[in-house]
Amino acid sequence: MLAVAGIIHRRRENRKPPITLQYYPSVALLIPAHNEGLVMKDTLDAMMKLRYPGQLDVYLLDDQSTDETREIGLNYAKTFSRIHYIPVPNGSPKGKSRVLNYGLSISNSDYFVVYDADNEPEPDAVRLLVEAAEQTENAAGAVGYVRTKNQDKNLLTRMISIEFQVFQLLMQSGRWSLFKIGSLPGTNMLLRRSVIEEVGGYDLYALAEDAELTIRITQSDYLLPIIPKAQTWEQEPENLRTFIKQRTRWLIGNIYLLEKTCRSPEFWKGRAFYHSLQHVLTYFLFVLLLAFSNLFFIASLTGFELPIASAPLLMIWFMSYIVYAIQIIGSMVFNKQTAVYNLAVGAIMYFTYAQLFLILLLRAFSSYFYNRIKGSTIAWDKTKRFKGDPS
Amino acid sequence: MQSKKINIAISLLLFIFGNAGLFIFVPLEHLKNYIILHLLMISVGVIIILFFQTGISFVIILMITLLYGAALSLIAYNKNIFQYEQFELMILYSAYILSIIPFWLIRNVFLQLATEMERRLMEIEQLKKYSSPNQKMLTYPAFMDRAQMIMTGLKRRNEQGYLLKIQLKEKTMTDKAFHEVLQKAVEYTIRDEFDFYMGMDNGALLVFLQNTEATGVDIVQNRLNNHLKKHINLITSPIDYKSVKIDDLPTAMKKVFSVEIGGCNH
Repeated sequence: MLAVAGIIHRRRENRKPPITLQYYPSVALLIPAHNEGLVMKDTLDAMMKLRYPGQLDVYLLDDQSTDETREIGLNYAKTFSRIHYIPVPNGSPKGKSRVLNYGLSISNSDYFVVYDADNEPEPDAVRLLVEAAEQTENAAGAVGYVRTKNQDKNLLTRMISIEFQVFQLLMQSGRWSLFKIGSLPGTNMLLRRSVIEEVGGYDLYALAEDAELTIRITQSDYLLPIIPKAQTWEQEPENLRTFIKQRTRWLIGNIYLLEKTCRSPEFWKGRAFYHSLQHVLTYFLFVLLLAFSNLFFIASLTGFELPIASAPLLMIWFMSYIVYAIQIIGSMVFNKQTAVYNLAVGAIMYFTYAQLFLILLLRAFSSYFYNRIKGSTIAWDKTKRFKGDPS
Repeated sequence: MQSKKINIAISLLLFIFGNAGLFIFVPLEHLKNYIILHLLMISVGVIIILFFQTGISFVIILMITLLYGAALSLIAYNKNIFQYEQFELMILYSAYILSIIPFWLIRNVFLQLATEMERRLMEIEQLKKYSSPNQKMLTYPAFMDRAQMIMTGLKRRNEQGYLLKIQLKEKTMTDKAFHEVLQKAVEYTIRDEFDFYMGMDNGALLVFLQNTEATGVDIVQNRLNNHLKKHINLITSPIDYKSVKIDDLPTAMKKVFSVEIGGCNH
């Protein structure tokens, strides 16, 4: 259902005629950065290509970098009036949330948009987000799509790219189309300054700060429209080690949010109910069922006698696999990525990439509970960047 | 083109393997129970793929595929097929998917080729615009052709033309971004009806200014500087200007090229 709704939303958005606002509000573009020298020049070049009819200021928020991030930032800030290099004072807890809160404190625009330090948005991305936010009643901002710039690098980056496409088709376009619900992806997201001030800024301790903020914004009854045409290109981990580290951090952030969801009755009010329910279903019920399913699988392999179910279980399992594969193919079709190789990668993802979820979850749960018992704060872990191919 | 050929070849192989597998692994006496339903589903799928747009046909095919799978699961439940016979239904279902998806893919390849051809035609139309008087950014051959043509007219009317080379004084890490800003500034500054420019390999821009004098060239430079000031913070201009009066186009080009310019964007 979500896939079909997502496809319909994509088609509708692609056919929308261009609009022009009478007045374009001011926008602060925040780029949190810690040792991003490898990608920073490309990022700032892309920021200079942004076409926005109103006031647009780019703030490079340097969080104590020790590489050439500072030098690159200062050079661009010295040359271009649009770019500002802001050294963020040392402090704790470390992480993106604190840096973004600092960025908000030193800027004063009507809107702010967040881009990760490896992002290269399309020239019209910010304009499209602002237009959507201004034209949607009660919008907190707007959310764009994220594409993978190094998807051709290897099988892993290809699978990450496919996963992103599926997530955006189902969880962004699909949910927006059916329930008027959107999630902040952490990058390529625009928010009204008044809204973030109203909800109290970023949670300093949230490692998945975007997911946490999404629930608070939705709980306050604001909307987050999804704009597939506002796209940014970002780099994804090129090796398994970096991927596991990044995803473990995301999952720890989501476990923190699961705990917060269970402890906060206000997270279950209004449309936030859907987010919270989905969170509990994904990180609790689904995990429980997955554990049972794997236990049964191992038990049957080892010859353990299992009860015979009076249902065509194998056929149902096969159907589930087909649904999974169809979602992937659907997202490829609407991103114009249909090729036999892509489809083959999509077909094996269930047996390879998707199974990593369990390992990642085990790692995240153990790390989370270990730190909870010790009473320590889980440190922010920056994703390693890779040198892109020279263009 | 090679990848499209591979896509078609693999799609056909998938189609053959899927249907061969059906006849090899499912006994005929079992298959005859489902064959009419199976062929009917494939026929409906093919008709939809042929007569609907790519996106819409995909959505309909997707829903039909899911319904077919659900129907087979229901049949398995009603007929108490809970053991190994389920594999036969799975093979039947796989054969359906391996018939429909390759068919859709092949049609998609042909549609992509058609779209590609349309895009190329549009690009040709765009290139034709280089000969339109309102196009400012030109390729090297278009620049030379138009400059030559205009020079003939200028000489006949006893008017002057200038070449103005705009280049960054020194290479820095911000060159790429600066070039974007500079190009926008030149677009904004020069006259729509008369002037045009081209990019050069070293990032410099060469502007052709027609029917102007040395003071006109200065005015263009000042306007450019003023426009750039809105976007850059530097106190001293980071740009070098070099202007050459055109008595004869090849000689003027030589003069511009002889000094620190390596070549042009052909």
